[in-house]
Amino acid sequence: MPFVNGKFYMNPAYGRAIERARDAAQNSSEASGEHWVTIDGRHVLIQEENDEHAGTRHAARQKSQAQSSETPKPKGLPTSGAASIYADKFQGRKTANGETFDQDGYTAALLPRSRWQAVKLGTHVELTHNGNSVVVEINDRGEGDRNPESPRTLDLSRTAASALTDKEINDDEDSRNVGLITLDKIKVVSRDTPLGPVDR
Amino acid sequence: MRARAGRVFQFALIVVWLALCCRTAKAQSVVFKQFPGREGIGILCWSNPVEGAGFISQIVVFQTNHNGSTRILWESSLDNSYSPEIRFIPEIVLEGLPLALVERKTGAASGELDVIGRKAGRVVVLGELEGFEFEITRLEYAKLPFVVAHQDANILDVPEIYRWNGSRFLEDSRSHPDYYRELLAEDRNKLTKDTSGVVLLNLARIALLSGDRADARGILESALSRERSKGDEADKETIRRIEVALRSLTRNTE
Repeated sequence: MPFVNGKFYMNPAYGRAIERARDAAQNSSEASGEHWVTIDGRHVLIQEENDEHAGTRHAARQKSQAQSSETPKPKGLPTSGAASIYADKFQGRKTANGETFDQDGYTAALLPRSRWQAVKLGTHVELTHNGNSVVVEINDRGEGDRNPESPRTLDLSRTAASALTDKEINDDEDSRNVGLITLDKIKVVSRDTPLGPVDR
Repeated sequence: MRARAGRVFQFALIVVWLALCCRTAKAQSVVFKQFPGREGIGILCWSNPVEGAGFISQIVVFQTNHNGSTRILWESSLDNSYSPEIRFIPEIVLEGLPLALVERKTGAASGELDVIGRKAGRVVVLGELEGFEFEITRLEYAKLPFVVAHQDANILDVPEIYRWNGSRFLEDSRSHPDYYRELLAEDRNKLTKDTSGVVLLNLARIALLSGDRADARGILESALSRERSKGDEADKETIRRIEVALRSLTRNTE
């Protein structure tokens, strides 16, 4: 029987998610009866109660908490991090909220997958690097790199990256020279806050 | 009077439904393909915009019988993705059903690939790969095609090569040094003396996959000296990652 976050559910969407999680579990060495899955865009913990696991859910939950570093729990928006710059090949492609990506805009993609639900698409955030601040709109989602310890939090449009670094970034070569931009501060601001550099 | 109110209510419902359809029609997308050689079994994927969440999408595999009735063989859970594309690998057939690959975008520079096939009589998802682009590549020396998942384009693309092992795709990049040797030569031409250390980290990974550990080590040492020479502007995290990569490379060589 499916238990989601400790409650019993009959929703068929959860049933389908459990099937998917079971298939994934068959390929892994450990079958704990607990799986993190994404349903309707939310990360939820699914606990299966069967003969083998009945009465041991509390222990299983404790075990799950102990292994929390291995499970893809949703993360919040960090207060600092690093940003990479969109490559030119993505100019004109559709972003996660349906807009067309524009290197000339003040926009950003949220990375990695475990952070996608940290803020709603359309949220404005203020970024600070070496005393420069810029407000960008989170209108996209990205993967970043495979390193779970990576500080990469955002992909930035070239214009936003230029404003932060005080460097002219006109093409991929300039972006590769900049590499990662350290974000000393990441702060959610009101959606009324205008996009672009912040005058101090 | 009650019948008239009912008709008005029905009419209002239709107006609301049409308004919603018109609003979303522009961005919604539906793709459908029949499994090759299996008429009657089709795969459909739809995506639709949702305020605040971006898009939602779903994959459905269904069978149409000779009398026209349809039944669902498998459906995915809802997912935040869009712009679906369906491809098949006819060379890989599981229990009579060719393998289907459904690629969906999750962002302008990211996507996912669901691998769908039949196992123990049921249609199931056999794996999910991540990347910003996916290629099905046929190499001269192999019978079955490979899937190449392109990663990390915003720094430097380090593609991953996946091999079919009979039941799923396994990462097998290290078995294709020629592929990475060619890529390494191309990428070297793109870089300059000012290229950031974080880009060189990815270049060193490509060198390692090409089988040339000495080259990978040389790239990392050069990256470290470049980053250190930046003084106050140096990115400490990049330096730390290069040092970790160098240590790991040295440990594995000894």
